[in-house]
Amino acid sequence: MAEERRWYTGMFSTEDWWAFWIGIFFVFLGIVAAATMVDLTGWIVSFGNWVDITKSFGPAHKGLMSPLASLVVSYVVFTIATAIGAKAMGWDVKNYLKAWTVIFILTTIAYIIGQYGYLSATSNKWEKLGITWSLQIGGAYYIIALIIGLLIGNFAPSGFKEFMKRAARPEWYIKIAIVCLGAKLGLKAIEATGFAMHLLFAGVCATIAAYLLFWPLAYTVSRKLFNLSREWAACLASGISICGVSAAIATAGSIRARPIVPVMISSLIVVFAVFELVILPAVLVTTWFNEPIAAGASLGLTVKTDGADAAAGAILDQLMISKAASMGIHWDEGWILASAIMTKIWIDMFIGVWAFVLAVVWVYYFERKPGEKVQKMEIWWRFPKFVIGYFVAMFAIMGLGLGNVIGFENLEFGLKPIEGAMRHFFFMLTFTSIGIVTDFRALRQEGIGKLAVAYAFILAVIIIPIGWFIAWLFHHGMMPPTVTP
Amino acid sequence: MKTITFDLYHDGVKWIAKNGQIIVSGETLEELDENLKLKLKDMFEDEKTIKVNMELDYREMVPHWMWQYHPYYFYRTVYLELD
Repeated sequence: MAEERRWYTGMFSTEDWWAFWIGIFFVFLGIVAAATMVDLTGWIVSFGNWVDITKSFGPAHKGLMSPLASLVVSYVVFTIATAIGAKAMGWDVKNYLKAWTVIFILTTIAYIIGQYGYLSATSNKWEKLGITWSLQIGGAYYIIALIIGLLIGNFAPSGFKEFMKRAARPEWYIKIAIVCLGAKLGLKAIEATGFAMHLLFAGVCATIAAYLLFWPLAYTVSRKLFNLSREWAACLASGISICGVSAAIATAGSIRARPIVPVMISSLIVVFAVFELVILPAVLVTTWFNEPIAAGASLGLTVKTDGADAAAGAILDQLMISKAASMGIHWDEGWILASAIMTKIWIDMFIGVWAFVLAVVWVYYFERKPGEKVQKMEIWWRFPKFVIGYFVAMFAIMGLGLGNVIGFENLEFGLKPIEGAMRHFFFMLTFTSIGIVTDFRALRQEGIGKLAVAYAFILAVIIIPIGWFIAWLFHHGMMPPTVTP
Repeated sequence: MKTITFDLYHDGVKWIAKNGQIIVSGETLEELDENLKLKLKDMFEDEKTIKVNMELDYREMVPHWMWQYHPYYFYRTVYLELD
């Protein structure tokens, strides 16, 4: 039944808010562990390179419990956390739990396979593993999880596919992971405050430049070259030049488009995002190895959907680190990923403002609906709430560390399992889920042909080249801090 | 000023506003607003202006897999002059 929308509407009924609640809960748990030195987070299962499969996973804090116990405890705790969210959001919890369990198991298998030493271990780990070579495929576990998901999403019987989709929530999982990443940035920023702040502000500049260039160009090409109506052109322009599906929905809502418009455009976005996440990291590590941070930032500008951008950033991070390690350079893990996420987060934050601007232009000027008022509250309603979690985590931990409230070693003790093991596992869940929800047959839908051609053209000719230039402009010369191997 | 809130739908051809007691439709939002004005004029003879809120029923109109990307579709507020 219709209710008036309030500022708190959706606080316990949307994935966006539940990413905040779950992410912040675990970050808070880590802070309490750091403050009390009681091990509240070391149980989280962590996967590492192996040649002896019995050593393929174990608790984040070694020796806390047996490997199998940490896997079971992690399953139970993460199940309870996400089931609470699912119940609050009004999902069918019983079916969610069944599908979630299958995804958890498949993700675990993908992680174990992908961490096989001869497949993905970097050269600095060979001696410890007792090997003398490996393929050094950084991020192999991500690709394996994606492939497993894609096989289900494209070849499984439709009943099983629909069943799995009940828990294949890539955006939810990646938003939880991004809140955990805020904790990582907080810890990193204590050691490298200048670099972290530089990354933060470079991301803002790149985002503003992208909004001002991408959207008008994409809209104009859609209208003039592909003859799309204003309704379709505006949604496509937002989807392809801002933040993918969320931008397409926000724009469609702002201009009061028929729901079919963002639904069709979103089907295209998720398919193209998978192509991008597979192709772009490989291209960037080959052509732009000397500018790792700019390369990461370019992903935030060019890969649509938070899930695919984070996934691409994670792959690029691993590919770049592996290549650097083979040359004796040991970059700190996570900074290239952080640059991909940072630009994307700024883009996500501005979508509320952009949607408000579009609503004002459409309602007051283009379509002139008398009596209709565009509410400023739209900016808050559309603001991505998980971003609040990201910045709260980052600045809380920075504040505690830089203010000497809690010692850095204590913060690492409590938070490393969250920003490391938990974040990585939720990234893996994202990859598996992206694969499950991506159905390439969406490209065969009636009426999608012209849209798909327009999308591919704008992406290849406008978004990617300009995105790479803007990323280079604001990030060139920035290199990830190094660590002692 | 009286405020009424509606759930909004689109059936592929027209917009439909419902709130249990009242159902009104229109091929465009302008047409919907006009039809709503006529209906409300009959029901609330003493009111000069009514504030009407309409929110698209997101869960009915948008596929389940898309909900995780964005929290809602749109929420319109229209002031209908009834005299």
